[in-house]
Amino acid sequence: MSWEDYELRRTAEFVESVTASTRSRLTLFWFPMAAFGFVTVGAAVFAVIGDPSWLGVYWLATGPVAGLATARHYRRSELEMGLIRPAWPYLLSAAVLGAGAFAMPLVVTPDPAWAISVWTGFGYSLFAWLERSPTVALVAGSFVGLGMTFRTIEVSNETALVSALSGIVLLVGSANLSPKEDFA
Amino acid sequence: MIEQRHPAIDLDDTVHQRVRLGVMAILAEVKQADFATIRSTLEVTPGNLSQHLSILEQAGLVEIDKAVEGKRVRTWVRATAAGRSAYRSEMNALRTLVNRLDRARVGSPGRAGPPQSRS
Repeated sequence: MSWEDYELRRTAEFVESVTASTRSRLTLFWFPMAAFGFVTVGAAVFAVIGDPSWLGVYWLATGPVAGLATARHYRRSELEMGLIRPAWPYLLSAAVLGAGAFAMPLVVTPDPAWAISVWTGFGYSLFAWLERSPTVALVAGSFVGLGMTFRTIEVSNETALVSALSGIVLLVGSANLSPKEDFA
Repeated sequence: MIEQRHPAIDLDDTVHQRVRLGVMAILAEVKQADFATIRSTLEVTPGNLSQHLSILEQAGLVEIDKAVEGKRVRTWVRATAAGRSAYRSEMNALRTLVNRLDRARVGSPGRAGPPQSRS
């Protein structure tokens, strides 16, 4: 191997390590997964003790709060890190995910929970691509799996069960993503 | 006979330099990056980084902005469209060359470590 070839390989490895280090610093997605995980578990509780027909209102009240908390967390963390990503791909993905989830009960009746879960899986696959995260991709796949499972089986209070399991998936995914220094 | 173009011809000296390639690798992942973050990631001195950023800026590959945040001034660097394109071309050329080396090594297996001397 000549010096030129050796230097070429070292340069390629150097770029890979810089890219990997930059991406690993930008692991912030644990926060929205935790925030929406708690809100989703809350939706399960709401569906059991409250009136499930008011779940749309529950999400209209809690979803934007979790979304704004996420935006604030991203903004603050990115400024602290000195690495700022474009916001529009995230906003567009969130809008597609939210609009689809709200439209699903109009399209799929009488029990749209499975369809919302599949749609959420699709939405999270966009986030997985944006974050280049296998963990988020696994969460997306879990949502699709959950949705397809509940499409084929009949259970009582499907909405509460799907919400509870979805919330748990998000919280477990968040725990796997969270950088340890964030909790220090 | 068709003469094959060597991929090394596609390497751009402005981008290929190690620190400048590192800067472009960081900027390819984000909209903008702070001077201090780039410096600490690449482990270079402020003077050295400034010099390389000036070269990239003069080539139209990056834009540099200073912003006052609280009591401090922060320098933000972002890649221009031409910069992103130049980085992509550079990485394509680099990958082609490394793949070529890998194929050559499979053809003639030998020592993988660095050469012992330049002579």
